[in-house]
Amino acid sequence: MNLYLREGQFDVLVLSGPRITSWPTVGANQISRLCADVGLKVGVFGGAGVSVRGVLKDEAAGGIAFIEDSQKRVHRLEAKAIVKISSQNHFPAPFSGWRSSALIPYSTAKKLIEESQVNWSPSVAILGSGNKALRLGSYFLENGIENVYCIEKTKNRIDQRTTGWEVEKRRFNILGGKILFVSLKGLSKKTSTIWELRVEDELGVRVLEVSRIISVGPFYDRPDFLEYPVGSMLFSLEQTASVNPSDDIEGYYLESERARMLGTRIIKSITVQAQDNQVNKAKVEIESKSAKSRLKQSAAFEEQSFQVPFEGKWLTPQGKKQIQSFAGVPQSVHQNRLVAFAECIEPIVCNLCEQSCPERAIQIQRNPKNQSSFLKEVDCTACGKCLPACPSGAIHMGHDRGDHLNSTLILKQTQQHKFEEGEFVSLLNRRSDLMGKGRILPLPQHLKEYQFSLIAIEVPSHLFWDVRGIRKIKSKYDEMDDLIFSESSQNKNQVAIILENEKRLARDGISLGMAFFEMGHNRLEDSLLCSDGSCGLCDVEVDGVRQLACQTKVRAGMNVKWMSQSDILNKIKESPDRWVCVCQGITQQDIADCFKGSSNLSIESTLSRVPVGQGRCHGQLCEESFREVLSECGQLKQDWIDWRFPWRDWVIYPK
Amino acid sequence: MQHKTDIVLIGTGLAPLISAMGFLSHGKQVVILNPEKDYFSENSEFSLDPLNPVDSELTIEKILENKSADVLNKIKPFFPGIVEYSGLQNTKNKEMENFHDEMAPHVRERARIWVYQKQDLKQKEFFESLYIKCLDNQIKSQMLDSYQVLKFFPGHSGILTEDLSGFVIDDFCDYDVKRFRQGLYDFIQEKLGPDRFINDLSGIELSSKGIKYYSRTAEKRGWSSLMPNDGVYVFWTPKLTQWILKEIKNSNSKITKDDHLVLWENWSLVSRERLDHSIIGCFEDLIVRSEIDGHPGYDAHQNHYRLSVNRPVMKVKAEEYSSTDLDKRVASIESFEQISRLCKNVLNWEKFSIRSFDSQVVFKWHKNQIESYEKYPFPVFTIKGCEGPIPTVLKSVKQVLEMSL
Repeated sequence: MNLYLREGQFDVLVLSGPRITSWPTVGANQISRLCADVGLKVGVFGGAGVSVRGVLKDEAAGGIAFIEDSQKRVHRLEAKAIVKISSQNHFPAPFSGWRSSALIPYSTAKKLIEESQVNWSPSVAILGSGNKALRLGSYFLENGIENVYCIEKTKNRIDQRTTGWEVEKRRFNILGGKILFVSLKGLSKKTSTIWELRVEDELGVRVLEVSRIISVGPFYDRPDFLEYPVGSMLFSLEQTASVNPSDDIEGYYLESERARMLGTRIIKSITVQAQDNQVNKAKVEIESKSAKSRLKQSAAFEEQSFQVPFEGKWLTPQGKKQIQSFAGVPQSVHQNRLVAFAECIEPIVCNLCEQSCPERAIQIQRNPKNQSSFLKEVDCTACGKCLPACPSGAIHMGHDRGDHLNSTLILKQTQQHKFEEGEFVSLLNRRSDLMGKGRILPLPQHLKEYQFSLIAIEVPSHLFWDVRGIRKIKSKYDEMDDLIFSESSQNKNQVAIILENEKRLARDGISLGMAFFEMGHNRLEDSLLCSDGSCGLCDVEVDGVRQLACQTKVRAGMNVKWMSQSDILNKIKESPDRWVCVCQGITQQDIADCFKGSSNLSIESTLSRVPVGQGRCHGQLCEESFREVLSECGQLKQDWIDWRFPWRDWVIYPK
Repeated sequence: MQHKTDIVLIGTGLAPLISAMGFLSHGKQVVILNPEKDYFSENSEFSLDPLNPVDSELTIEKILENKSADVLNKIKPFFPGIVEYSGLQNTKNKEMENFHDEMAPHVRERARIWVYQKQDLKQKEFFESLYIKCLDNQIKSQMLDSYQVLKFFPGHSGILTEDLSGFVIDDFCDYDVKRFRQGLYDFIQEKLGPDRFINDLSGIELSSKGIKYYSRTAEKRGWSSLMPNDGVYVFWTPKLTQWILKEIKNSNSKITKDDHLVLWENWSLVSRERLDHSIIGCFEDLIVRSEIDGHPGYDAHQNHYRLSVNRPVMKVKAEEYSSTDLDKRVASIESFEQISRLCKNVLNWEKFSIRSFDSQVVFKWHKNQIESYEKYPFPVFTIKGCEGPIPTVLKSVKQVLEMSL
């Protein structure tokens, strides 16, 4: 009886970790390009048909990777350096009741938004205040969710600042989102669709009623990439880029530059012996310095942060002057005609406006001292292309008729409501405070093609520098309209399935895991909604056969039963303990107890006492929260990479 | 500034800890120096005596040494807390008559079965002779055929395809190495304190002025020195080999051509069947049993579906050992094929799931002994044979203590 096993040797292996979307990623491409350019033998493994099962550390440096292809052949590959591209999966430190079906990670939420018809009403809580969290919050608000809260921990954050850009925070505020600086106290179920999230700030405890909680993070500062053990040439790089760069320009930039830095590091370590490599060495050195400098650039907004200074609802005179003197803001042309205002005061790593401008009137300065956008106001023709291009809505157009009663502003239209010409709207400042009323104007002729993405408003001239958003004025008849014009929720694509002996409707062809979310019956085990079934937690019985819900498609007439839950999962549901490892039933207290009487335990010693991550999910659900707990216990293990083999359940069919 | 102490113990694993306990109980001042960041990273101890078939270790003497009650009596004096015993007769009872500390390290009585092909006459002859020796020594044993083997082998699906025979003895044991380690580590660390129990060191140097070392821990980074009054004991494990050969030159401490290193693979598979935890199975060079901690009858957190498979992959002469050889052999095709044979031919599983894997390298000394080196003002001893099954470790430590005290 034979098992097909093939041996191979590489200098560098770039491997896809579990739940990576769109392979190869930006980072994988960068590393492989850099290493291949200097003549190293590079292997890139992942994606459809190729499944990386795990890595064994070498005694010295490098390791052995095990890969299974679609023909079930096993490839055993040795390499001097291995890079694991890891999926982002930020979970907060455990709090009471947090391990429940209500709390889902960002990747799951994104998938549900893109592919499902899940109802998020009435409210959503987002844990985190970085760009991803704020953008997600803005998305929900633009799509009609009434209340969206971004929750940031009070400790470890200076001056109650969000970790995202000011422009994203502004957009979120204008759309009506609320940023709360609180600590999480508990989560409990109120009804079948509503959960109570208890949070506490200096004023006391308050309860937020939400349909779901999305954990986005980041919850602690992360290094650019990890190497563990030190000197082992085994690295982990996080996938921060989306499929579409403009969805998350920051993430794209970060992953790309981090990969460059990591690639140069690997090249220097592996090629240190080569004597005939002077040209490559110089090139690698340039790449390394450039990557480091660009990464430093990307974090510049944290040091040169911009907090909009208010006096009541209005900008302070100094604040106004600061904004007016900003390089992306016109100095004089706006008094004569329409012109663009690129008000992203912080030095952020985004140049989508520059790319969109046909007149090259916007040019992002790469000068380290002046990273802001630079507007050549004379060249700006007010074509309007830059407004929809800016994902944060930081660009608008305006004509300040200071000597007239009213001036004109043109903003990016993102809200669901279709504003009509002549309609009165509430005017909001950068903090979403109500400034007054304005009127919707017809768009200039040359902007008519943007009638669905731009909106022109008449604002009192004295509010020209304060108003940056609008909101529909609610009338008493609005709720009636909702009743009269509510769309039928019947989806023609639905088929009937039997779920736990009851007939249910689910959309044909979607995964069962997603169908559970749409029905409102998602379980804790469905939280990760893996693209590749790697967590192995969501099994169900379909027509008598055990399958993973995330990998099984809905079809008419299927008989679905949930697998009987383990004692541990039942215990988790009954008890609000701070569970960390769901598979092994380990709480935060269990982990803290193992440090009593022992100081400076290494991560391996800790794992031998509490086997976190040795359960069915191989640490995919618990690794991040485990790190948070370790950090809280004073055991800083942020540099740890879990190299335990295998990365996910590996079934082998011997021939 | 140079610190003084009586004894310095250099090494990792249980042996230095047990030695420290012995020295402390006789009023000696002890310092433990460990070059590794994690004290147990080398993983030198086994949770049972493998009776390595490759080494022809399966002898009646070895079987007698591994009787569970005897092993328990050997271990108890060397552990500061309770050591519980889990016998076969009461494994199914959750409630014991007397108090039973579920979290204490356990010595578990298990039966052990060796399975072989019926047509293999050489094996048959070997086990028949062993059976007779067992009878002579009053060890209960049986020779089994076919379906009787099924009843015993852990993880068997109940379907017989190969014609197998078996030999079983009813009194063998395994033990909770992790719990022993943790308990002893916490105890000794508390006794010695961070100043005398030092991990994560580099540059340990022996000289006539004492022992100099560089600590890499954040709290105590920098050079320190010690002057041991009564001696330095170095517990020789593979990771310390280079240091020993470099620092203790021209001594009796050498590697001979009869000394070997054995690479062990430890696989964890998911069993389709609920496992019988009362027996350890052996098939060719594989040792198969259910992975449990503590008392098998204590159901909380017990996963009765994890099958542990241990395999000695290669045995190399210690003087020829290189880490690249190890890389080529660890989790190689031979291992996968051997596991496949186990699952297909013996357990009758159509597929197998790997849950985890790790490897360990241990010495197989021609002679477990203590060697001394007299070059310095203080005696330096290297101890061979301080790894492997816990009783072997205890034997070495006992020799150290008897020699010194």
